[in-house]
Amino acid sequence: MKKITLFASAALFLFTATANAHGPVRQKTHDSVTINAPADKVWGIIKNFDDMSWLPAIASVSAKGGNKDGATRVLTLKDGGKITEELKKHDDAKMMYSYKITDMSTKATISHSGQDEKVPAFPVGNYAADIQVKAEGAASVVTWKAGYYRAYMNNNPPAEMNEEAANTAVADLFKTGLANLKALAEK
Amino acid sequence: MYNHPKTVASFLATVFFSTALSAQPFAYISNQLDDSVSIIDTASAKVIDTVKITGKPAGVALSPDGNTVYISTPEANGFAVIDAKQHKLLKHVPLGSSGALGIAVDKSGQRLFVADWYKNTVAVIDTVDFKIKATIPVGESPSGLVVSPDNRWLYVANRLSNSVSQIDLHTLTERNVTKVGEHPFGLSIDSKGQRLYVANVESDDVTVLDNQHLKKVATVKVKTLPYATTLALNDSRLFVTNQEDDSVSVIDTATLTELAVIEVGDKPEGISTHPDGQHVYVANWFDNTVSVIDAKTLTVVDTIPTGNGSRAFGLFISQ
Repeated sequence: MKKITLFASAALFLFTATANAHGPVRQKTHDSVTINAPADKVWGIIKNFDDMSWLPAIASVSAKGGNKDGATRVLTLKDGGKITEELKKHDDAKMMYSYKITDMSTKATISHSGQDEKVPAFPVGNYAADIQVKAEGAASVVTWKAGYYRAYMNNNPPAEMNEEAANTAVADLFKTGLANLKALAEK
Repeated sequence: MYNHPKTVASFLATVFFSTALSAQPFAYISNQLDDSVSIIDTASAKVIDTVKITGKPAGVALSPDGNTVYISTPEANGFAVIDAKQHKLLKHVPLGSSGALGIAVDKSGQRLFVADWYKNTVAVIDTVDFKIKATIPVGESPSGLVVSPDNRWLYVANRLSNSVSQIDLHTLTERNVTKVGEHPFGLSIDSKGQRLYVANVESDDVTVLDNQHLKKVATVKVKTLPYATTLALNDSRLFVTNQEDDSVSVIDTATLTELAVIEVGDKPEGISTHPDGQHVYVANWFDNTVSVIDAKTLTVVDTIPTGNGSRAFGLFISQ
């Protein structure tokens, strides 16, 4: 009996070790909100790539290129972090735009596996997202979607840079952002 | 011929039996975030079963007889072997590296090739004893793999080297290597083995190579982040998933120009052609669906719900 137990825990240990020793897998998050306001009005609030006043986490924006593909914006977060984003596609007719993060400031430098690791302002890697407004009768539905990797691209990530950290950060951003957008549009 | 009841009965039985068998072909869709593989009966356009596969399943390859499915499982450091008829996981083969992604079977069904994203090699595995017979060094971050129809060559897209390797399947060595666009990922070869089509993720184009000397024939611009390719309608059309454009580009292979752009689901990745040559299946990673395109009308004729994070990277439909 004892042997069996030992074997089982050895197997469990092996399985855990194997499951952790890997390269990252792309993650995704999507969220949506129904807003009791016309789609035109909601799109009007979010459509300008250089205007992020609807997103609570953002302190200020400096941007160039307007709503043209390839336009860039630097978001300064309320905690001081900076995120640079590039506009990939802007479609006024479909009331949607897509963008990706091209650069970020370092939030903290931590020691992990004997090395210094830079935790980025937003704990994700290779992040691309899109946001879209759709009319639903007199109301509208806003959908925000992102695909990304965790911030740590090697095996065995630190807690600050693992999948959970990435997924939580994106989910929180979407939730607070969409809730605030709803509040602004329904005013 | 007259209608004897027994003849009718056996005739009916035959019809029934062949109908049951003709449920083939099947599409095997790896759902990376679900740790599963959806099995689609292409006749009914429905998922008929789902097989749990741990290790974040990504790449798909099928034995030529359609009896076995091989799925690369990067987080489980190797690949899974599935009984295609019983829908059962037969075994998991560890390769000792988390870089397993691109996967392909040779035309005899006897050798399996698995590209290692981190070790920059392609492992050659015997499909009977699942032992590694050879490890071939290629370029950096090898991804897509395709075998020539005459079973003579294996082509490898080396993502970080911006190149394609041609592997001699007699000597199991690299015979030739050529530069393509930026970050090649998926690739296809036509049924005559004359031309190779390579999707370049970063340069938003497809490189067309002549198979003999890997000479560049053309570069065709497509949409954002082309990921994988497939040929349809007797090789006259090339279909390319544009991952960041939620679309599929259609290229006329005679004029080598983009004919049409078809909207599919969100973040299309893997793409394969049904053996009828007319229907093209696209795995939509964000939407958790498969879009079915009619290559003649260039419209989406079906959208099939699958599992979370459908990738299906490779030739995923039984032929």
